[in-house]
Amino acid sequence: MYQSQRLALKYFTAAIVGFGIMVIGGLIAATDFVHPQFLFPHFTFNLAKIIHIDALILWLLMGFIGAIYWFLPGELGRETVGVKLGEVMFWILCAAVAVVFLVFIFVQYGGSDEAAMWLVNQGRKYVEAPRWAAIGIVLVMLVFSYNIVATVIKARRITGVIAVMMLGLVPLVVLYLDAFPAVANMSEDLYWWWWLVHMWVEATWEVLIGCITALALMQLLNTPRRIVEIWLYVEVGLVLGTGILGLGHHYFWIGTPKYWLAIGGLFSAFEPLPLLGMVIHAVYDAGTQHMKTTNQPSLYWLMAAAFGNFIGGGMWGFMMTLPQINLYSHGTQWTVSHGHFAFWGAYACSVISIIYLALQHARGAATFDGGGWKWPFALLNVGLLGMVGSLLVAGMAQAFYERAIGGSTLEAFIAGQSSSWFVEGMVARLGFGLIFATGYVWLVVDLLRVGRRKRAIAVLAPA
Amino acid sequence: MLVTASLLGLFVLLAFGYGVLYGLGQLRSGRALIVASYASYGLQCLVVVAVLAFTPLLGWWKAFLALSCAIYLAIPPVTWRSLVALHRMGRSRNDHY
Repeated sequence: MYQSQRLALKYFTAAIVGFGIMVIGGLIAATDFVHPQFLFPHFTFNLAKIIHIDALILWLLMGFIGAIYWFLPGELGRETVGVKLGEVMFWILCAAVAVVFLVFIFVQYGGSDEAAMWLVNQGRKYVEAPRWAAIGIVLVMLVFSYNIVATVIKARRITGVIAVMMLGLVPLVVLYLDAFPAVANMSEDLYWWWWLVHMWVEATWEVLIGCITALALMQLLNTPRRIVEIWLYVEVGLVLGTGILGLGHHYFWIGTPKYWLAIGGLFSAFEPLPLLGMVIHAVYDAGTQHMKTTNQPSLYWLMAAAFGNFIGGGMWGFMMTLPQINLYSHGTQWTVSHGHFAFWGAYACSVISIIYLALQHARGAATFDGGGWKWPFALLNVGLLGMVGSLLVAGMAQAFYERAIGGSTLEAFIAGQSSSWFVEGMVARLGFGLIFATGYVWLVVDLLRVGRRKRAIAVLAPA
Repeated sequence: MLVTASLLGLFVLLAFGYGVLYGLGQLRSGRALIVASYASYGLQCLVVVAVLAFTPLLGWWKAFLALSCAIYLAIPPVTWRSLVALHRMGRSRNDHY
């Protein structure tokens, strides 16, 4: 195994730990909706939400980095350049994340001054990490990008997938610079901040996960490179074509000019089209192989990604993306429902699939076909579907009672929060959250055990 | 608002049904599945009619929805044909080598 792949396994381990932190943060936040005094004032809802969301971004990002470090040597036929530096940066990243989370938990808030921005919290949703840590993240991403580009140069070889990946890395690093607040005007600040949040999630991450999935398909289903690459170009082109200007749906109510209503609505409405192409591609690939592969969990998680991406991103997104509806749904639990479903489908399922794929090779198992993965697969997906369903009901009630009928006053807010649809939706969400958490624990157990027993038997057999 | 949103969600869900059933029908050469896929597309068209007739969306959003419904009709067959052609090309290349 290449050193780069050993580093990838460390990234995967960190990603799964981050997944767990995200689940804990989510459970606390979900409990706060049912019992508002839970852990108050020591651990408030705001804090749980920050930890939930930041851990989500970090674990997925670590999963992507791990996947790229895993596939790169095989793709270019040589060890990754600068892998030692990459390893140092991995430990720095882990240490920085640990310190930031401890500061969030124990310090929580600073004053409205420069020191708080540098040491406690930058005050920007999704990228709350204090400035020193944000600079650290930029450094990690720069080293990671350098490793890839230097490996390509040293190998004197480039494939279509790696070329697309390298192109995706440029905006990945550049857009993160938007994490640093520089403008006092809130509308202007949000205008740029959305470049980071939207363009990462609906553009550059899509490109990266497209490349990673392409590499996985070649290993998982022996799909020929030529086919994978042509599909990658088509799908990435379509996703970027609809996704970049889909940015407009975040500009609806932040003080931007009115034309964004038309641009955002139109391009967001186009976004399900390439996703439908991806679903048909998934049906074709899995169907022609009769769902047979040496790594069943990886294939099923990849299928879950294709379907979840379409339903969570496409269907849930289209329900609320036109401005006339978004006027009422924006910022309600309805949005939360869409966010959960889309992140799960587009990214989380893919990262889990890649981890199973990597583990099979790392543990030298000829096949991963035991049934241990089925329970976590079922529990996580049922839990997630239950959560997004409950949130959808609660969000629709909120949009109806608070926004449409009540006109967004404080009284209407209280009425919306007290409606039985909302209250029961939140209770159901917590219940399904617990099912999801059980699935997570089971997933960890399966990841620790899968492939080990077979290898032990194989080692013992010749004796 | 809730009815409009639900109809839009249903619109995309039926497109999903159309795509998946069409793909499965082609894979298994199942006539029933292909018919079911077109039935799903038919329902999608009915949803568009409902949106046009009963929702308060502005005229050009309705026109856009009708247009995109027409585009959806082409996506599964075109995607499928491209995939088959691409795989055939890939195989003949491999045979050549």
